[in-house]
Formats: sequence, structure tokens, C-alpha cells
Amino acid sequence: MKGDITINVIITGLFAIGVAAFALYLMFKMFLEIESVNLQAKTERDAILLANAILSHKNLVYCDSNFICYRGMLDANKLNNTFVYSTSGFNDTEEFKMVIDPNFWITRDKLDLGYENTIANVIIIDLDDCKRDRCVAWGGSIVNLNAWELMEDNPIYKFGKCLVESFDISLGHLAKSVGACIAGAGLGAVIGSVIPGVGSALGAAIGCGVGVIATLWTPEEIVNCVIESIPEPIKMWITTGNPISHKGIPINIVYDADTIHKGRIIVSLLELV
Amino acid sequence: MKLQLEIKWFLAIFIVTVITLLILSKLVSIALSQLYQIIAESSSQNVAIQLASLMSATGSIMGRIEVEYIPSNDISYDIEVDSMGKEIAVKAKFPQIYIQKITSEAKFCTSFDSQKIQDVNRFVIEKYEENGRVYYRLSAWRINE
Repeated sequence: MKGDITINVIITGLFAIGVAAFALYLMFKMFLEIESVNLQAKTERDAILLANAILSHKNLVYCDSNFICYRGMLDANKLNNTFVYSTSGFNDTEEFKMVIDPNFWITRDKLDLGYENTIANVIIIDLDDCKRDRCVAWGGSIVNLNAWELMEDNPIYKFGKCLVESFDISLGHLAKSVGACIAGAGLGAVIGSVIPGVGSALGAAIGCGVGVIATLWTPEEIVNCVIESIPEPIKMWITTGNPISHKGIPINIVYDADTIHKGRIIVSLLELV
Repeated sequence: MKLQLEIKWFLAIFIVTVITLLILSKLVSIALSQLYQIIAESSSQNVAIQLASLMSATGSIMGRIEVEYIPSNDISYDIEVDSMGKEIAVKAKFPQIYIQKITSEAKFCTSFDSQKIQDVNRFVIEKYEENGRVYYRLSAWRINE
């Protein structure tokens, strides 16, 4: 008679565990998948939106005598005023250094576009005037730094903040921690009594502490916090094999009303946090 | 003999339960994904991304534009544009108590004024020109349907 009850209990228990584990697996799988899709698309989307906004900026586009401005048609004179000009397509190291040199960063009064704590390198190439020995191009870096956010979003701080935010203060969790403390204390007391100089009391205290810490967060919570605290360039590098997102969009470069060249604008984004 | 009979019954129930669970798992999966879809569409993260994308996208228009965005009629949101006018934080206030109220941030490449608005669900993003200068404006209200 006792045997019947044991089998019953075991099978029922196994069912309950199986169903719970399956439901949890399904939920985590679904949530994690959608989270990662959002992360992957972010830098790509930002680069495309910035490139499109640059193509329509009043300080760069060509406007005719009636003050009608044309999207995607960049005025060569305006480009000269905003970007660094190169006839070597920035193959010359000195010219390229000027593009990334903080002294030549594009200020907000010239171009009020760009993301916070992101380095956006913009290169505009005149494809109709780009041969082996001569390639006309303009380049510049748009940088908007926010020191507070840079500090707040550093990976270690973010990881710690995420752990604190995901800390569970429910009664169920408290019971789990108390149980782990008791089990750890028992084990610690046994180990402490065997090791000379430690004693069962100190062993129990250490064991209780280890037990509580071990139950503070689930492995999923820790994995989630690790994913959240990874810096943007590393996320980009993991997902695309490159820490920078390059987006090239076709444009026209207007030298004067009769001289219009085909070109391309390449926006490279490096998101610092 | 009695024990053997009971184990046979258990095995029968076990097999039937496994088959039922396999069928149900598909239904559960569909139900969960539908629930997730509803929550995801109105979530803080999604609304923050959508708003930031629209705020950036207004920059790609020549001249004046007005974009309206209503993520949900039932859920209200708290929004905050940061002091540099380059990042928006959104907090979705789901009426269901089991959904955590998380704040999500997203960045945009245009420049908006710093502001804080609470309990809204209709957003209007504008780009306009005044005295030869370009301005961007985010307005928000609460609508019920």
C-alpha cells in the first residue's frame, strides 16, 4: 500500500516539475529572442536615420534662388564650410587624422544632428570626380559627449545596477534564502568543526552567508544583466563582426546650377554606451 | 497484482498526459506569443524606440512636418526628454499588476527641448521653421476611446 502512494507522489511531482520547467523555458526563450532582435537592429537603424537627416539638413542641402531646398542634393560650398575637404579621398593619413581630431569635430552650431555619446564619422565622396590619383571627398566627426551618462553606463556600474534592480524581495524568495542559509549553516558548521581553528560557529556563519548569496539571483537574471551591461560596440561586433555600422546612401553634389555630380554619403556610427 | 494494475493505470495516464501536453504546448505557445505581442507593442521599450525613431525621422524631411503616434488607447505613459535633448525615457503604465513598470530609454539624432510629461498616450512630433531656424517639438496628450 505504501508503494502505491510513493509512485503516485513521484509521478505527480515529476509532472509538476516538467510542466513548470517547460512553461519557464518557453517564456524565457520567447522574451530573450525578441530582446536580442531589438539590440541587433539598434545601431543599424540609428546610422540610417542619421544619414537621412544629414541629407535634409538646411546647412548642407542646395537651395535655389527661390529659397527652395532639395533633399539629397548637397551644396559643395556648404560642405566646404562644415567638413574637412580632401582631394585624396582621405587616403592621406594627415587628412584622415583631421577627420577624427577633436579640434575638427563638427560643432552643434554647424550641424545640430548626432546621437549622445556616439562618434559619427561622415564621409561624402564625389563619385564623378574620384579616380586613382584624385578623389574629392569631405569628412568630419559628429560627437556629442555626456560625461554623466558615460560614467553611469560603464559596464561594471550597469551590471551592479541591473543586479540591484532585479533583486527579488518577495516572500517566496525570502523563504528560499532562509532555507539556503539554514542548509549552508549546517554544512558550514560540519566543515568548520573539522578544520582546526575555524570552529562550527564561524563555519555556520560563513555557510549561511554563502547560502544567502547563492539564492539572491537566478542564473537567468545574472545572464540578463551580463547581456545588458555589454557596451554597444561589443554588441555590434558580436552580432555583425564589426564594431561600427556603415551606411552608404546615394546623393547628388551641386557645385553650381549646371554642375551636379553623383556621390555617396557614408555614415559610420560607434556607440560608446 | 494490485500494484501491477495501478502501475499500468499510471502508465496509461502518463502517456495520455504526455500526448495532451504536446498538443497543449502548441496552444500555450500561440497564446503566450499573442500575449507577448500585445504587451510588446505597447511596452516601454517599443514605444521608446518608436518615438526616438520618429523624432530622428522628422529630421529627414525638408520643411514642416507633423507626425502623430498613438501606441495604445488603454495604456498611459510617462515620458521624459533628457537635459541635452537627445534621449527619451518612456515608462508604460500597464493596468495589470503582474506586468512590471519598466523605464526604457532610446536616443534620437535631432534636438528637442528637455521636458517631462505624465499619463499620456497620444504623441505629436513636429518639425517647423521660424525666422529661418529649424525647430523640433514633441507634444503629448491623454486620449480615451
